[in-house]
Amino acid sequence: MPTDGPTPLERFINGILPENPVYRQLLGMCPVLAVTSSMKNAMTMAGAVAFVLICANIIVSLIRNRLQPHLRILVFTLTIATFVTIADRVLAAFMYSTSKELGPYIPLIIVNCLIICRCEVCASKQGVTTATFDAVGQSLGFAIGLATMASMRELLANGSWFGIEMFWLEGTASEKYRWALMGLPPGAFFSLGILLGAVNWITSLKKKKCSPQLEG
Amino acid sequence: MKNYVKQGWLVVILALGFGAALAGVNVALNPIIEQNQKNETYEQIPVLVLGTLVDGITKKDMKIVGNAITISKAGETVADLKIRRKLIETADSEYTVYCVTGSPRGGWVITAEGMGFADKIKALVGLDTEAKKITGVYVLEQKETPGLGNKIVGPWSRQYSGQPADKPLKVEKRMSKEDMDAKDGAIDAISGATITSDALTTIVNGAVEQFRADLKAGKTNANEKSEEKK
Repeated sequence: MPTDGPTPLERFINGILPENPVYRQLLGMCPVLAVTSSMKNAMTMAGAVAFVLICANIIVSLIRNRLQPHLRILVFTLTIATFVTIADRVLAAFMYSTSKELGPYIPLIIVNCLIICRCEVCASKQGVTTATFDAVGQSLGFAIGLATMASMRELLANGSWFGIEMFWLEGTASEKYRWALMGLPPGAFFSLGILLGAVNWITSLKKKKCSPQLEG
Repeated sequence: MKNYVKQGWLVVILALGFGAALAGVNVALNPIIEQNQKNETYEQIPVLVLGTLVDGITKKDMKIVGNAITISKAGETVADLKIRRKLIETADSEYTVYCVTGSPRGGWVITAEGMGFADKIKALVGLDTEAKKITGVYVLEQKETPGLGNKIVGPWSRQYSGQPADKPLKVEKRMSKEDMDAKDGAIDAISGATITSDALTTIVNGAVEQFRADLKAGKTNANEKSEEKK
């Protein structure tokens, strides 16, 4: 079947870095700011988003030829809401304490723009294979975004990573080196600003290297 | 009409399909989720009733079967508790009483609820068998300010244990170590979160007072038959 638009592999690679949902598209900022105070919560969120995104992309791609254009957003939301509810219930059943810590942020995946954006941009226009690769790539990109934020915040705020104390903080003096602010909302904004700046800086350096004639 | 059907059939079919799928998920997972919620309360009961007697006990040492909790450490049984649950209706709301019996000692655990600084706080309060002393307080749900008010979840709430239950507790700022050890009804406020400390203490006071009145009136005698229905 001839398809217009990017191939599955292109979609997959684009999602990870060139079109990273967090650092390039700035989508899904609510979980990025809210659940990145610890690595465990961030990765649970990344897993839940990946599940919802992959399932929603597959379903939307399967029914894309029967979609009425003016009803498409309704169908996207319906699909996403179903999988979010499933993810929420599964977490409450098998990861009860994490589910309690994440609180309303799991149900709020419904309004994560990343998912509806992928349904609109890719799944409603391209085949199942492309849509699946796209979803996996974007999910990985989102997970990388959350992981960088969460690593920075958890290390600075608690001196731990995935709940494991870092060796240089062991002992009684550890309290001194904890920057509690990084675990609080202001810390989320600081981290996001610094990381976004860093990503933009690296991208601009790369551009300069590739095309020096465009400089200035 | 025909036009509506033509345009909307996919939405209707999807909604029905998704609805059925969700119902299936709910049927399969709801018992597990309810058990999780029950266990969350039950896991706290030994700590609330037995206090320091179960220091160093982890969840792994605890075995919850039905309404019985057994705690064993290194092959020895530390505690063997039986729990009876009863819902008590008050004038404007209701709360749950867990009557704990067994060895090494029994007691009561009651649920307490009220407004905190940010949102509702839900807590469990442990009392001794005669409801004369508070044996522990555990916060189940709270959305207080992280880093300040949410300290009520941590070791701070240990100062409630050993406090008298026959007079309302009072929150005081900057208490000395001796005053805190005296356990004469004063609670040391969390610095930076006086409102939260006040709120939790008020919630505990209210719940304890209500429970003591109900205990006197004999409302707490768990009725086995009504118990089975729940």
